[in-house]
Amino acid sequence: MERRLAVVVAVLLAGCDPWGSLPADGYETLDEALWDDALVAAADGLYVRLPRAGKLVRLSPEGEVDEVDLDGASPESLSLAPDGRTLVVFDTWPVCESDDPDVSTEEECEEAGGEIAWRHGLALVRDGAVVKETEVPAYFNELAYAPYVAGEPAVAVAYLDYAGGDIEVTGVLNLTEVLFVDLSTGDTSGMSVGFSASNVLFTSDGGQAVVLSRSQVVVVDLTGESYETAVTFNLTLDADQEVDALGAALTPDDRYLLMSVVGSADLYVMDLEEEAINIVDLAGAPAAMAVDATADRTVLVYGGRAQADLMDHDLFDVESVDLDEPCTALVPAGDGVVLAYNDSQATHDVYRLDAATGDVEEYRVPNPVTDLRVEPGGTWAVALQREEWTGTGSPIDAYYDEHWVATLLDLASDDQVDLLLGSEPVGLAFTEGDGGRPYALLLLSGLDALVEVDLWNAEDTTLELPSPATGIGATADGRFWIAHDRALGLVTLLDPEDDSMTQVWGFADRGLFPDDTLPRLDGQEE
Amino acid sequence: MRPAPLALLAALALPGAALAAKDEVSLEIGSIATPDPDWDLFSGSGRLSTQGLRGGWAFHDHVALVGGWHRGARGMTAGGEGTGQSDFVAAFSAHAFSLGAKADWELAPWLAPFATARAAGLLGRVRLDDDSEDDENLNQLSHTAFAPGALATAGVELRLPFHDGAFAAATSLEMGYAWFAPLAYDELGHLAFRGFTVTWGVGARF
Repeated sequence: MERRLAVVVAVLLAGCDPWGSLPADGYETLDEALWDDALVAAADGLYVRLPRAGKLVRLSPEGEVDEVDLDGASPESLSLAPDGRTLVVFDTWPVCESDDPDVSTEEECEEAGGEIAWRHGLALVRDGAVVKETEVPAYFNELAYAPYVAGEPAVAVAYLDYAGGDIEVTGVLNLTEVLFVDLSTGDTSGMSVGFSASNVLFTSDGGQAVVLSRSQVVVVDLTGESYETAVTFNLTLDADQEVDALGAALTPDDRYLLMSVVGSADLYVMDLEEEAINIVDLAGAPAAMAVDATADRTVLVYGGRAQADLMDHDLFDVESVDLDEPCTALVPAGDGVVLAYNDSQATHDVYRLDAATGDVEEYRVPNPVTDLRVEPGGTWAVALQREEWTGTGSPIDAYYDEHWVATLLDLASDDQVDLLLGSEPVGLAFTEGDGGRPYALLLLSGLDALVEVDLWNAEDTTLELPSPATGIGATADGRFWIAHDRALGLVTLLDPEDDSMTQVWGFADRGLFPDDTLPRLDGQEE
Repeated sequence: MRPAPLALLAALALPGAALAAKDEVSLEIGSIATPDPDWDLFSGSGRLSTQGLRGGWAFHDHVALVGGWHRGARGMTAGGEGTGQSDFVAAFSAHAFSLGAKADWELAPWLAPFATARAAGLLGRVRLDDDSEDDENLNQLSHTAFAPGALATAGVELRLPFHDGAFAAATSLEMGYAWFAPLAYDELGHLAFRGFTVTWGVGARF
């Protein structure tokens, strides 16, 4: 008996738990991320794509996680309609092209000699549920939204923004088509508008859509029961000549369409009422164009010329203003002010242009600007700048060169403060404190803290975060979301009123074990 | 599933065989196969290695009631440069329980082929952690699921008798088929274990 007991005890001791920590004996490379940190903030919560699982989840304002039922489709991209509550989802799902009616998985499809094909849809999601889905051609990847007017039908236009790469072609592919989407009902209607539509603009009342394509501009009337072409502008009479739009804008009265052209100093001015085209000769091909409603003028800058042009909207006369350095980007700051900088060359100037008077104020910043944002009040701007390696200048200049920099620009007094940053900025947002005091919220790469910069006195404070962040944005309820570099999902909701934080985590493990079940068997191809 | 009952009937139908079944206890190692592609998250081997113990009570000349408990754990670091996100550790640990009958036939005092048929259960736990160096990391996630199943194996046992056969050291090797229903993790999905299983053990017969 004692012998038996000794044997049993020895075996039991040997069977004790030998794993005190998680085993990790190798590396598995994933094809896709568990979650996409480009969150979309709708009125009912934050929508997050789970690319590997092919799912869509909603993080409610209370921090709860709900899965949106897309009927087995995988969300490819998300965007929020101007009403703030309609999420538009491009999604895709597999079907089996086989004669076998019993096929229910991708593996069975292949065993039956079938082939997996992918269908594409455009789904409207409200309050966490799909309200309408329409199958669409595979190539639509961009959406342009008409301005939101309460009580009026909301319209979006889906089109192909072709940036190279393969487009799935099954049957016939019509690249001249755009898709009009009624965001209220989800109904869609296609319309041929010219080869390769590249941009869509809307009049301020949403009554007309202006679709720009190669050598052609089509104005579509959206006010009737069916969408119809109102005007077609052919931009060339020579079939061998191609006119591709570079930038475009409507004047504040919606009467004129201004369109710059790739590789040309011509600015097309299309009168939408008189259906006439005028061409304005510019100093060169403009790199950027901004319409200012206050001054009722358009500002243009050129990558190869150190000048800005101010063009009125009556006679389209151009007034040129000399700059010290060429600019390639414009940022409207409101009240007739436009900021100009160069985002493609290693220049150091930022200009404040008064679009009405042509007055110019130059700010000299330490490093080349990568991004420029204006706070909602229009009084302050923050210019983010990258490191540069010039090897010249004083030691303090060299020290700035070695760092990322955030320059605070006071657009009222023209003062500026240059703040050295410890690492690359990965997010910037603005908020307002007591008494209207504006703050910039800055996230830095690898830093597990949020930097709050008081724009009035350039003083900064830090709020500790649970881990380094990758992005920031505003929520519909006045808070901010902060995405973190955590594979399994981590989002902080920050209330700027009291700096309180709520964390939502662990939502990205959903669908960790995806299966190959074909989700929509009714749609199988025979 | 078929070989085990047949072997059991064969053993019971052999009245000339020597008394073979004994009480037993063994320490075992083995593996359970999984064809599930999602297992790649935890291991590239396609199987779960296990360790555990088995005990048996001989209630018949040729038949014993056997029960076992085994445990296995595998894990890997998962991620990918192309995903733009940090890595995470995915670990799977399981307790496998089995209870059933074992029939053997002592061809010689040192040699006894056998077959088993057992009902089984698998308690699988998935643990995920995207910052395993931080004990307070929020994303230390755990999901547990249970799946019933069955085992059918056949093998051979080598014995080294002591004290006129009253006590024997033994080693055994058995192979067969294991089937478990999918482990259903509500939000994560399913993970299935089924296929070839092999076990090697050392222990005592008394």
